[in-house]
Amino acid sequence: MTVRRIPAALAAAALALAAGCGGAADGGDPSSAPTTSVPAPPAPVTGAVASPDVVLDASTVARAEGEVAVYDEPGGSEPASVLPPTTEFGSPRALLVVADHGDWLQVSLPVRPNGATGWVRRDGLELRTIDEAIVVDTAARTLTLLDAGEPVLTTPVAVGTPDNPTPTGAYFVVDKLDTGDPSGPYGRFAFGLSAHSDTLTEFAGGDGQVGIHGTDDPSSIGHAVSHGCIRVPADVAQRLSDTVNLGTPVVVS
Amino acid sequence: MTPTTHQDQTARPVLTLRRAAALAAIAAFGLLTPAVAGAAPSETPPAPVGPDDLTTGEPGPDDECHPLLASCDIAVPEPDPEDCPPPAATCDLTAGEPDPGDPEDPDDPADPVTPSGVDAPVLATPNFTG
Repeated sequence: MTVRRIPAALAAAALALAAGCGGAADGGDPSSAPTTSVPAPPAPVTGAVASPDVVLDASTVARAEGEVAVYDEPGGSEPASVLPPTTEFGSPRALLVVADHGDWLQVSLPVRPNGATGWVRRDGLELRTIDEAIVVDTAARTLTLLDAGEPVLTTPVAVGTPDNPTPTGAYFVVDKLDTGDPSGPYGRFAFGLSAHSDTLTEFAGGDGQVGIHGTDDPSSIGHAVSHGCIRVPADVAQRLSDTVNLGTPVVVS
Repeated sequence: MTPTTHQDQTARPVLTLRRAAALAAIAAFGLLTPAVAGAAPSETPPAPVGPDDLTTGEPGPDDECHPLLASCDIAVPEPDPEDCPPPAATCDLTAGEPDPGDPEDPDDPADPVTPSGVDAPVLATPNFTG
């Protein structure tokens, strides 16, 4: 049985319009949408993997307390990779489920290339349903928080420059951090995504992971000035910290 | 001299005489025993009232603090909460061990959440692309 893979419906366009973010989607027919979803993003530049559709009104997240063996296909005998039980920052391991095949789950992976997916065994994983989702419109430079498919917050954001653009695609929240420093460059709260910069393979000692976070330069909000991250006002970062769980879908268009 | 004192003095001899006559009659028929006569105290005192003594209806020292036990004794009066010591931990069935991975359990150290049930942020310095 496959769940979460609702045919591309473009309801995100309607959501974006409702949130004042016109022009976010790619112009499909909203009337054909059985539920709230967005189409699969374009294939990443690397061309390795195309992301499945992501449903935004409810998502399934797999939580693991131990290592997670990832396979190239369901029923595989040897894992292609093994994910540690926590991220490098100590966040519990959470993976966004994109398809359910019984004993096997297809999950989005927080690794390069962007949009990579893999297969994991259902055994040993805890499945949770979450209602929140985040939509980022890089053209309008806005972020919208959805709850059960309904917009509950829209805010202007800073996005990447043309030289270091914010990568588009379907991702999810991997890390949820409290920097403990509201006046620092990331503000008090930062959310690491499964996305990685297409132009930077290293940044500040990291591997180019893209995040949503606050900023010590509020005047940058609304502009394309970052290295790929999505900067939000401090109050929005606080709101996201109060609302968003690990595994929350983040769709960047 | 008061009337009260006078009445007591007149009543006691009457009772003494009646009792003496009754004892004499009983003794004459061989029915008198020391126990009945009350001449000597019983060497076997009554058993003390202990916990859950259903014959007396008196609550034991712990009955009032354990409703399940007290409910079996229909003669136990309503407990006075102020008289109850704190319940023993072994009797507290609501204090179970945290369920690992329970998102609703804020006491689960392996899976921290905020009071509202949302994942708690991890204290760390990010190195995202900024």
